Amino acid sequence: MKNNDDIQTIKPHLPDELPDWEAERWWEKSKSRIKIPQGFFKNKKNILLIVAFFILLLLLLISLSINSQQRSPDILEQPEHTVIQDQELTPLQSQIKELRSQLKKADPAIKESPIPAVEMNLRID
Amino acid sequence: MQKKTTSTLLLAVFFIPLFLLVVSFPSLLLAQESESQSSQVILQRQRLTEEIQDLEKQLLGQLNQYRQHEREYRIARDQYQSLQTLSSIEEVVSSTKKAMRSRNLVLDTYLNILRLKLLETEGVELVHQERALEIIEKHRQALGAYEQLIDQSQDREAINLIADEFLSLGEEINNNSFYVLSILSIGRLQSVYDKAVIINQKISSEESEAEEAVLEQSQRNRAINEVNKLITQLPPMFETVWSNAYISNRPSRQHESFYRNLTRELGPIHSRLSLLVSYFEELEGVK
Repeated sequence: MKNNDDIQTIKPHLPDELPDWEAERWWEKSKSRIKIPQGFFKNKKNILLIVAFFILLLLLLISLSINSQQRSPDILEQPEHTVIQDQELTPLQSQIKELRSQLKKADPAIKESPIPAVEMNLRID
Repeated sequence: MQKKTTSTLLLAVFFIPLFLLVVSFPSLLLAQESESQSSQVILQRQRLTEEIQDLEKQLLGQLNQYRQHEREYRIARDQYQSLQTLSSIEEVVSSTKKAMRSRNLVLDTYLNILRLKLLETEGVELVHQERALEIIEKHRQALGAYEQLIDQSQDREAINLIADEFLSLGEEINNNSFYVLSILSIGRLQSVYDKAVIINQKISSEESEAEEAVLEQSQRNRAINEVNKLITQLPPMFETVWSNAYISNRPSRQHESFYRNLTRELGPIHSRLSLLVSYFEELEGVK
């Protein structure tokens, strides 16, 4: 009697139509039929995208830093006073200033150090 | 729906830096290339200047050492002349060799400094530059060969023999060093002139673009005419002084006298260039 009651209680839970087992075959693909809603960071694709994004960002920063490093010697090699002057003078004016200082250095009255005075005749007499 | 939005957002975030990277990279590379070319020249010159400064410091040290060795040589020679002992002969031979070696080192460093100055200085005519570099190289090789002769000489007679051989080499080095100094002096002024010509071209082109009042423009034209007159006076003067530098290499000691008189020869060129720069300063309002 009790068994009959059980059968009756189970019956309404059975689906009206049975699934097409041949078409489904989900177990062969090692997949679950139950789809669990995943979090943003639990999706592999999303994580890969984020990693790729950071790598690109890093590359961009490195390229920019290399560029700025290569420019720095140009700034360093300019004498300090010309950097300040460049802010005030036009390029042509600064060229003229530079020419004036070059002319001062090229003054023929300024003599270069001649050959060191050494004894050319080192004899034993 | 929400998932779609996040993935599009992510793709956008992913592609924006990628796009920026792709767009900026070639331009960055091109800019770096042109910058590196001009900065390479400047850096090369800067490196040469530093090298010259280092060598000048080295030369001072070497010269001090030479003075010490020369003093020792003189003392040993005096002792040998007065004592005439075997030990005094031994002493004078070793001290002479030492003095000869340090003299060689001093001269080689000095020639190397001249070589670097030739490479560093703009404006030296190529014919003179090549010729001077060739001479320097030849002298440095001769000094290297002389170093071997010093090592091989073991007695007084051999040392006296190589000492006589050095006299002509020393004379040549001395004379040619004045030739190098002369062309360096001329080259420096030539470089100022070359740059002045470029500046003058820039000023002239600026004048044609300027939208100024007629009176100011005519004043400016007159000033530029004066500048041009001055500029045309200089090339023949340079030509004369360059050819004199070439001719001065005839008999020995000629270069030295040419160098000593160079201040007088280059004086008018320097004063004209100074006037030219003053005109430029006036035209462009440089104080």
